[in-house]
Amino acid sequence: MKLAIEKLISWLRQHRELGPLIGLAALCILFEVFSKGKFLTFPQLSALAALSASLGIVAVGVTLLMISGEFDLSVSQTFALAPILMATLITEVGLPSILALFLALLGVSFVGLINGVISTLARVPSLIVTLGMLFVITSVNRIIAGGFPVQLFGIEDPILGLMGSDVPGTPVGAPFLWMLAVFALSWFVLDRTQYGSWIRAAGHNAGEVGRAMGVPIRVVKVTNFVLSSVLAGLAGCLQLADFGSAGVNSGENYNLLAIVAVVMGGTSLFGVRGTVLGTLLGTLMIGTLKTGLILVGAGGEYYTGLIGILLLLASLVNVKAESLRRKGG
Amino acid sequence: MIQVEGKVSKRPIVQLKNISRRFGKIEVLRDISFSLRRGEVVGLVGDNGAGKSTLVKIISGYLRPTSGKMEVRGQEIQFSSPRHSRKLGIETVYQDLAIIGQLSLWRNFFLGKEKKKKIFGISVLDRNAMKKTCLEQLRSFGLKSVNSANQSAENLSGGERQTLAIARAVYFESRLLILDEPVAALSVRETRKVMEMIQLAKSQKIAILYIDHNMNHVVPVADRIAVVEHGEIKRVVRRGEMTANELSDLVAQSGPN
Repeated sequence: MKLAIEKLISWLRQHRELGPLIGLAALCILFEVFSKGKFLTFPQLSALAALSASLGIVAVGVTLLMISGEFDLSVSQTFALAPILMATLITEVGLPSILALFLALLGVSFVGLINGVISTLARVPSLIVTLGMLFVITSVNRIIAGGFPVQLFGIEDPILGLMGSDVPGTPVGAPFLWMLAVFALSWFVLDRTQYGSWIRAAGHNAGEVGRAMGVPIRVVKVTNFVLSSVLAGLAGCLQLADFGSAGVNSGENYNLLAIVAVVMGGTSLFGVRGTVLGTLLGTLMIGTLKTGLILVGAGGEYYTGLIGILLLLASLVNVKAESLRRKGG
Repeated sequence: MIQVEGKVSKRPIVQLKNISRRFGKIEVLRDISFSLRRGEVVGLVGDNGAGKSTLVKIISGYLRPTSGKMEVRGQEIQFSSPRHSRKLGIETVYQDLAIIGQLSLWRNFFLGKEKKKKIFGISVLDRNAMKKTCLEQLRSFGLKSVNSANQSAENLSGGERQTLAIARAVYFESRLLILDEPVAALSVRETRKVMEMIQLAKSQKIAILYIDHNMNHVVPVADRIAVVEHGEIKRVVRRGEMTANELSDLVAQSGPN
């Protein structure tokens, strides 16, 4: 029995997306049964898509970082900072939305740059650096927004429409399509480009082998921190365009939920291994859990607990798979 | 100062001139002069803390010397990174830093020097070409058990990993191959295999700097052996001049009391 389980884990290790795919399918079936056939319907799935879009984009950046052996806990406040900057630039300064978006993303890229430089050059663990940054940006957000949500109601703008409106004739929001585009692009980068190989090399043994092979590990890691911040900021701006407002709590818990999505998607806690497809499935699992629980009338108090249980299960499989790998299993 | 010199008639691939390196007040290397020529194996031996690793790190671009000059094929070079040294044909195979187990064989083989192609003007990995080349090279180096370049490197034995690293260095037409204790954790059979790889690389006119604690490994393959003591080259032993036991005694005498 033990051998069979170990063989199964070993096989799943080679096909990392299968675990989350099975998990997602199981959740969908469960909610379909408990909701008496109301879960796998178009309105319900479009609600799932809307809920997953922002988190998914944040989780892509976190995936790339975790594969390169680093973490980013500041993404939840970076998610809020970018729309606060963008809305302020539009409403207070009068900038066109495209320029405001560009400047907002440029602004949050400095957050990633500072995270990356301190983590890689000063060699302070990224968990601590980004935790510190989380508190700093929380303050910055409160100072800029003045304690009130920023709003873009009543502003007609084709760029904002492109970012946040529903796809014509469907209830699917543009942010979900943006999320799919971000996933596709990051899959391409990770799987098909030299930079993707370098990201994986950076995650092994603090990047020592990669460095010995001439890979600019520090540049790769700093770039990933910047990407993580920019993607979190982009997700926040898309939500601003969708909802018309944003506040300091817009991305609350996204830092932790993104890690949950990444780990449930099969990315190794020890770096190198991981896929963005897995993260997409992990994100959809979280969205499924949330929409499914609402549909079956279970209280929100169950949601966080179940997320925790799923994370623990995914982590156990993750650690077991790594330990088998080290034993040569 | 003793210089490790080969035949003067051949131009050295790499030449170190009066290299010194300090870490704060401690001088780890002092006035090292050193040259390596094509198809030559130079052994580097010495006790722990003698300065061998620092010397390797300087030649492979990890560290910069505090003073002294380094020439590659007659041109003075100041390495800025291991990437720079690899570009100039210096490949280093470390005992623990040769391979990333979780990556496939082809990704390991081409790490840092990936083959690329353009698709619609975008630079992408030429995965098929890399897989094909990797498999051919590994087979030519005797890794017959490897069926696919897609397989994960973690399934290779220690000797096979070192073979992959050496095959990679040979493929990239390295001029100097630095082997830093490549057989330290290997079985007798695997050690023999790696020794065969060294002979193969030597026959392809690659200069080899070979570092090992075990004189029984160094003596049979090295044309010259430099004994490092307290950051200096204390003696150069030529092939046939000493047995492994005599060399061990020499290193033991020169080590810390």
